[in-house]
Parts: sequence; C-alpha cells; structure tokens
Amino acid sequence: MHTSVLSAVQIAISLGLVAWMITGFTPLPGRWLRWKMFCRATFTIISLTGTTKDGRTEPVNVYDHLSPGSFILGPPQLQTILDHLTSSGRYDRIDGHGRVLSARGEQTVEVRGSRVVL
Amino acid sequence: MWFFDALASGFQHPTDPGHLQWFRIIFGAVLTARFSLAFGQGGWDRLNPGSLSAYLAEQRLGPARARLLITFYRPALIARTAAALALALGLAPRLALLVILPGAAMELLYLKSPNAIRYTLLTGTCLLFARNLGHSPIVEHGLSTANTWAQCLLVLITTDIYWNSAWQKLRSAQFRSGLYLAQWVHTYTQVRDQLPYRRQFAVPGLVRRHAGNLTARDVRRWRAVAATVITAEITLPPALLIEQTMPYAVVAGIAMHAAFTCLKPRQLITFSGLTLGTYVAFAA
Repeated sequence: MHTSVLSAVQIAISLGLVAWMITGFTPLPGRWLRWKMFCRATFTIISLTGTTKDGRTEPVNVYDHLSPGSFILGPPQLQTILDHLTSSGRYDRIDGHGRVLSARGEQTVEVRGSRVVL
Repeated sequence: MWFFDALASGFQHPTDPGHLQWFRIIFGAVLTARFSLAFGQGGWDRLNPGSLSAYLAEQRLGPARARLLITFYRPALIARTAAALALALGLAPRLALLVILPGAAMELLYLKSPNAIRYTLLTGTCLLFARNLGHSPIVEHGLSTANTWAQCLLVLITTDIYWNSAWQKLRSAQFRSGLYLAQWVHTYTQVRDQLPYRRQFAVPGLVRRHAGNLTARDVRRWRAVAATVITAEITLPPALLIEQTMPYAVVAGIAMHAAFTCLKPRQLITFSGLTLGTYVAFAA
C-alpha cells in the first residue's frame, strides 16, 4: 500500500512536470522551461564621450558596465547605464554614435545629451 | 528500454543507484567551480553602495528587500560554496542541497539571464528526490528502486532543455538565418578590446577573421552552423537513451558543448557541465 501511494504521488508530480514543459512550446506566459538561449538578441556597437561637471571630456566604455561575459546590449539597457552614469554625478552629459544589430538587420544609433536616439 | 519500463511500472523498475550518485558528484563539482568563480571578477563587491548592481536591485526589489539582499549576499556566497564542496564529497548531501539551492536561487534576484540557475534548480531538485544519494565520494553500484524516479526526472528535464531550445531557435528567424551567430561574432570582434574580462571569451582568431565580418558569405556559413545545432539538439535525447547509439551521442554532445563553451567559457561552465553530467542518467 505504502509503495503504491508513493508511486501515485510520483506519477502525479511527473505528469504535472510534463504538462508544465508542454506550456513551454506554446505562447502561454511564463519564464521557466522556456529555454531561449542564444537565439535572439540586440547588439550595440557604440563609442561614447562623457563630459564631466568641469567641462573635461573623456571616452566612456559602456561595456565595462555589463555583467562579465556578456556584451549583448539593446537601446533600453544602454539608456539605463547612461542614466546611472549621469545620475551618479560622474558625467554631466554623454554623447556618441554607433550601430545597432538585431533581427531587423543593422541601423545607426546616436546618443545626444545622454539620450539614446534611434 | 529502461526509461519506458520505469514509466510503465510507476517508477518501481529497479535501476543502478550509482548513476544518480555520479550525477551528485558532478553537480557538486560544477557548482563548486561556479560558486568559487562568483567571488572573482567583481562578484564579491557586486552590491557595493553606488554600484550599478545595487542601483538595479533597488529599482527591482524596492529599498527594504534590496537591503536584505545586500546584507545576506556575502555570507550566502561563502555558505553555498562550502555546501557544494560537501555535496561533491558526499558529506550530508541532503543538507548540503538545502543550502545550495537557495544559494543558487539568490542569483535570480540580480542575474540578467538566469537560465543556468533555473537548470541548476531543476536538476538539484531531482537530486533532492533521490532516496540514495550515497554518503561518501565512493559510488555504490547495485539494483534498487531508490533513485529510479529521480533518474527519470533528470532525463525528462534534459530532454526538455534540448527540445525546447531547438524549438525556440526554430521560431527565431534571426537564429535560423545565421544572422544571430554572425552578429554575435561580429560584435565580439568589434568590441573585444573594450570588454573588461577578456578571458571570458575564447573565440579562435580564425573564426573572427573568416566569419566575423557580417558579409553575406559569413551569414551563409553561420546558417549551416545554426542548422547543425538545431539538428543535434533534436537528435541527442533519443540517441542518448538508445543503448546502441549512446556512445556516439555522448561524443557528439561533448563536441557540441565544447564548441558552445569556447564562445563563453566562464558563463557556460554550469550549463555545459550539468547538461553533460545528466548524460549518466540516460544510461541503463
């Protein structure tokens, strides 16, 4: 009896797991069991110049602020990093230009007065 | 085939508990490596006041919960590394897992793409369901039903990761066309001098020079690679389960993960190590 109860619980959990896995192949919302690895991304190749409060300019390496081992960077993440660098007082403003690569191909991108402009 | 016999018997089909114990050792070793590396490359200082990570944590979690994360972050880094080592050695494995799993889950709070952590948590939970994890670094062999269910779950999870990943890649025109891989390598060749930790990547110079310029020919080359990866991901799980094809599948799997790992060695230690580790669960 004990073995059959255990077996029934194991079967129920396994069926639940399989059902959950199947949702990963549908458009249903969820993050787990959707293994979107290495299949779509937006890349940004950009050179930036920061102007400090006292008017000095220096190059800004935006890739320094990404987590180690990643260089995938889309315009919204770029904007977040620019906001962090200006709100922390490190730079008065940041400008620059570059290219964005995505599923839609290649387009140019500009940073004017710390704002990303596509 | 043992897997279908096990399913048909409601997981009462006896298997060798040694397979899961081997996976416990590999899981412990891979996580010891991951957790030890997490101290370096700015990991220890990740949530220092004024850092971008602290700023993002506060935006995401709110000030009170961000404060909590910042307080427990460093002690958790230490505790989970010790626990991973204990698990690999077979010292109080269940207790070790109960420290490792929350310690790994902590990364969900600050990592941008936590797929490796999700996979760690799923396979770690399978270990928790095993009834004979062993108590020493020595693997016990025999036949029992103690680990049958956990072994079946591991097979299911790895099959799902391969098939679902193939499905996501098939649905992405960017990947299917070869554009994704071509853009990845091209961006890498353009920004590699600015990347803070350059040893994170091991893309051979030959690949950069001959397939990193985003030309139509490069994209065509990467399209062939993309098709190979999708085919391998679909074929590997059944090929691993069939006794006659298993040795070839293991070699093909190791070659594929070695190629992935070459692109991003450090980031893919966990993912490649654990996926290859689950191959022991496919064996009869």
